[in-house]
Amino acid sequence: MGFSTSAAVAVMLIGFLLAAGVLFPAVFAAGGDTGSAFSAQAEQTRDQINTAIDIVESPDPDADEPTVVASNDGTTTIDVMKVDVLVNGQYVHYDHYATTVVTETGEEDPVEYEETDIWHPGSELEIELDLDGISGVDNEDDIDRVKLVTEYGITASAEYEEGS
Amino acid sequence: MASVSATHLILFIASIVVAAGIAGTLVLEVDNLSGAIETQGSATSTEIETEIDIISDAGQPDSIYDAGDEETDERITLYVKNIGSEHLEAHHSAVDILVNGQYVSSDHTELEHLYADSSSWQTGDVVELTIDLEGANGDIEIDGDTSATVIVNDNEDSIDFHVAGDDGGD
Repeated sequence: MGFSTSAAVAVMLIGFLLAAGVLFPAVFAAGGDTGSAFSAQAEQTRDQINTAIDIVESPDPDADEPTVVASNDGTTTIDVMKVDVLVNGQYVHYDHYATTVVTETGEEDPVEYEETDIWHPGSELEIELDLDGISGVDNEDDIDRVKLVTEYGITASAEYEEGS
Repeated sequence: MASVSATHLILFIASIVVAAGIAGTLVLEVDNLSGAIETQGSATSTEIETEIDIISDAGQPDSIYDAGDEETDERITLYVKNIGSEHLEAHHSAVDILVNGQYVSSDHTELEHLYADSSSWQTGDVVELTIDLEGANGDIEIDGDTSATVIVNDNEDSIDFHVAGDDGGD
């Protein structure tokens, strides 16, 4: 009986080893995926906290096309392509506005970048709206509210008085 | 070896067979279990990485709620932005919508990708959700304070807005 007991125990031990070899990598992989998901979420939260924008200028009534100016008051760079513009609550497609990033504002020679995606901290973004692309808005006086949304959901909005 | 009797031999073989049966069953079941753990882990990390945001302007409720007239149905239009790190599916069945706490069936919702005609709702993209209230179950009354909730992959965001009733101002 002695030898058969040992042999049975040996077979079962080998079975447990194989099972553990299958189970542990799966558990570690699942734990690792969840951990990196939390870390991605934490990184997003940090970017969100570091982002702040403010609309600084209402559209100039003398300009041909109304321009909204917003400044990046935070400490992270904002991706211009991922900024969304809502006029009177309506989404404006990016084909219907032109963006320019202006730095060194307030000094004599502000530097303007027209083809850039980088809205760095301390600079301003000028958004020139093409009113043909916005339904319900025929001229500048029809603009009541403008809302800007950045990549991580940080927003800024401004109301405009009539006739200003 | 002549002292090993047939009984011992039979018992030995029997115990080995039982042990092998136990070990085999254990390995098979643990294999199933580990597959399930991997699937669950990947589903959990998808849920954690999904983040959506309703960017519709609550200060302009006319742009959200359209009471409709003879030509157009009563509907709610919401702009939803993917602010997480997970790419989502740009199809209306991937989104669950509650209006004033009531579920709206996906037969009455439409989803349109606003950047390009794509089936992938990538991070940073905005989609336009149109909820046809007239077609939906008729119990949803929109008057006064209204709340709409959008749920994707167990992640939700709500927007509250005020709809002027028939008795108030406009």
